[in-house]
Amino acid sequence: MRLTHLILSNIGPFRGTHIIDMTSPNSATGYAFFAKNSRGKTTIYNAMRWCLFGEARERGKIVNGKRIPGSIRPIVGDGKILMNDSAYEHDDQQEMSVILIAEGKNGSIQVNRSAKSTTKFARTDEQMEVSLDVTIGSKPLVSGKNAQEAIETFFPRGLERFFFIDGESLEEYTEMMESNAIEGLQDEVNAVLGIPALVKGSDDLNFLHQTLKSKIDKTSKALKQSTSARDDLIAQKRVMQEKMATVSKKQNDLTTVVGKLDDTLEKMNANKELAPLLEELKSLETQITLKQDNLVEAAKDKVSESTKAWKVLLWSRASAFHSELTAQKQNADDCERIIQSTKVEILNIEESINVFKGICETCHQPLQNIEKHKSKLQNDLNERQSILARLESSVNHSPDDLIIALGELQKLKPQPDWKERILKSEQKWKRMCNDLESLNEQKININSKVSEEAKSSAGELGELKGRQEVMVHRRQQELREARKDVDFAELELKRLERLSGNTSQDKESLLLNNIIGKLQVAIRDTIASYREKARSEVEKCASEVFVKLNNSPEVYTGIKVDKNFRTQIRNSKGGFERSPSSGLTSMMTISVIDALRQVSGIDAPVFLDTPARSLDEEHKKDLLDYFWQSEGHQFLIFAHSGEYNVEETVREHKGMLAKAWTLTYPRDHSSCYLESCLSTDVFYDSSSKKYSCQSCQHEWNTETKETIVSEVKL
Amino acid sequence: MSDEEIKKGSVGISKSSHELLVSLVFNEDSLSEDRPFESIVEAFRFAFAVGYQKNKSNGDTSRTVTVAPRQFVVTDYLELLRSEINNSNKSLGGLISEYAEGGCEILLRAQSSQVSILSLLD
Repeated sequence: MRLTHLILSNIGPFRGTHIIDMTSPNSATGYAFFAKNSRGKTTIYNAMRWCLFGEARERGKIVNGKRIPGSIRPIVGDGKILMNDSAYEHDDQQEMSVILIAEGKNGSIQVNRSAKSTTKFARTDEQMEVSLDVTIGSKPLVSGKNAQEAIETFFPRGLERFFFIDGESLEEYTEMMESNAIEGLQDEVNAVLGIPALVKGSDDLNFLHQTLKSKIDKTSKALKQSTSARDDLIAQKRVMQEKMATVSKKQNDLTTVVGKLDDTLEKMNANKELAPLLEELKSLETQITLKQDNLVEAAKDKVSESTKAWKVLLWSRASAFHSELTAQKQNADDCERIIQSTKVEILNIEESINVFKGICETCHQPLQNIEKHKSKLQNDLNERQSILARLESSVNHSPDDLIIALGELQKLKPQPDWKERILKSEQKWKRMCNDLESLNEQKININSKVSEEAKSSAGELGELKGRQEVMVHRRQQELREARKDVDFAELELKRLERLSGNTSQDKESLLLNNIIGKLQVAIRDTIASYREKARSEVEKCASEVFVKLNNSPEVYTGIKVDKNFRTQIRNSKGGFERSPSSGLTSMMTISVIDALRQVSGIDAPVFLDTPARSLDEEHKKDLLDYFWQSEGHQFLIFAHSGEYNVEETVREHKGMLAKAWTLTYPRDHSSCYLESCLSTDVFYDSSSKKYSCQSCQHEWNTETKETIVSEVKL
Repeated sequence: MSDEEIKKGSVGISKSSHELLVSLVFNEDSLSEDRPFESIVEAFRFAFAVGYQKNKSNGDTSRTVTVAPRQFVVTDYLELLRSEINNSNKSLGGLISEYAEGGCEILLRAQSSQVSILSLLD
């Protein structure tokens, strides 16, 4: 593919439309844009990237061998933008476009990408409508996604790095090539080698393989569980058989015991006539035992009550004595009272006699017969003293003695109900004795009717029956337990039968998985083989380029590219250059990039921005000498004034240089820059800062930052 | 007669009466037999009460078996028997023993005639 025209419109410092005609009368490969900084070199470089791939990125960074891509430069917005500032700020409709026209092996190629604001003033790229149209040869025009896919056919995006080479980023390439990790260049290397399709196929196969493997594993697990369940099922069937044998044995045991019990009952039936008597005897014995217990209680009760009986007996006689003493006490109290009152009367009479004065105590009149009255008082006194003496002699016991005696007697007095309680306990005991005697008589009576032998036989049978009944009960219990075990075993058996159901491995899946595995191995081997072949080619090609590019080919004999595409400079001693200069390293990097480009087989121009940044004069010349040939791929450099001198470069590479341009601002010109004029008769108005050509009247403002593209005459 | 002048004396009983009283003491192995007393002292006390109630005493029998004084306190019955003692010049224990001996005769008769001992309360 050979570029013929580049048409820039309102991009970067290119205000309005600029048509850069790259057609050349010869087939030389050299193309050059010379300019000072900020004049639009990188803009052209970015404009072509944007036109082809829809974005122009800032320079990226390398961190620990990994490439951190630069940010996408926006079309519009704040900061650095792709669109021309003046067009963005002043035009009614913000619009930018790049048209790239080339000649390819399939005919003429035209790529037209434009961006137009969808609002009055677009502030972000979302408000810009980007359109892409591509025509290739006689094929109809394609747009949008199809147009992008069409570009991929002649300029794969994955190889952008090897055709758009940023000289200022050569160190980035170098670092990636020298790094232990090839992650940074891997995508590009793969793209150059045409591996992506294979790798993509491999990824798809991996996905298929994983899906199938998961399915197979799942089935295998189920199969394993099923197999395990089948083993358990067999074991469980044996357990089931054992349990059923146990049930059968228990059933037989029960039948045997029941049979024995039936025999015993039959024998007992033979002595049926004795049964009521034996039953009665048994009942009597039970009753006697009960009565004996009752009798013990009654006898003890009687003994307990009897401890009070002596008081009842004593009191039946002593109560009369107690009454007598009580009466004596009453008499003694009465007598004591009369004695006391008589003593008082005696004292009163004695006092009356002693103090008598002949005055009547009642009427207080003088008494007529005093002696008679005195004699009467004396008689009263005598009478009282006689009564007192008689009373005192009649008292045998003092009241205090009687109180003590009554108290002592009172201790012997029984409670009123004692006699009744004692006699009741006596009667109860007697009744118990009689009942027991009666029961014993009945027992004797029955015993007399039943022989000891019969009794013994019946007793033994009864005991046997009891034992056998217990045994039957036990056997029934055991049988129930055994049946329960069988039920549980049966449930487990059913569960295992379910688990061991029809699980089988899908043969097709296994086959497919096997095929995919083989394909994966084949792809891996193919990639490895292809990689190795490509590596060898790249190494050979890069070495050839490097020998041409470096200025000491006799010392630096080639480039070693290892399997991870890490590079080293070979020297003539058969070793590797440990500390190459930055220029030499740049040469090595450019050599490898060009080798990769050549191996890729893509027919496209190479764009090299700031190509000689870290190169010395000799290397700069060698670089152009190598890339600029009389025929072959176009090689476009975007050089600033410090890298290459325009006249010198043109002179030295005459014949190899197809076309060259300078990019300038109006202020860079102090003479008329129009090709048709080029007059030096100009006037500068310092107030308006404008030059005006006195010959053609062309005016240019030195403050305007709009690039002027001027073709260099070769 | 004051308390100081009353002789307490000891209580005792004849061997035959003692045997009778022993036969009246409770025994779990002879529940059907009429054995209403829990000890010989209790049986003696009952015999004394029977003798006193029936006013039956026997002073001739020699008393060969004594009754433990700690378990049978004669002074408990002093006021009951004081006048008799005052009139008879007997000791308190002696009088009680005579009544007990008399009571035993009644008990023996009751026992012999199949009459229960406690029916003597009636």
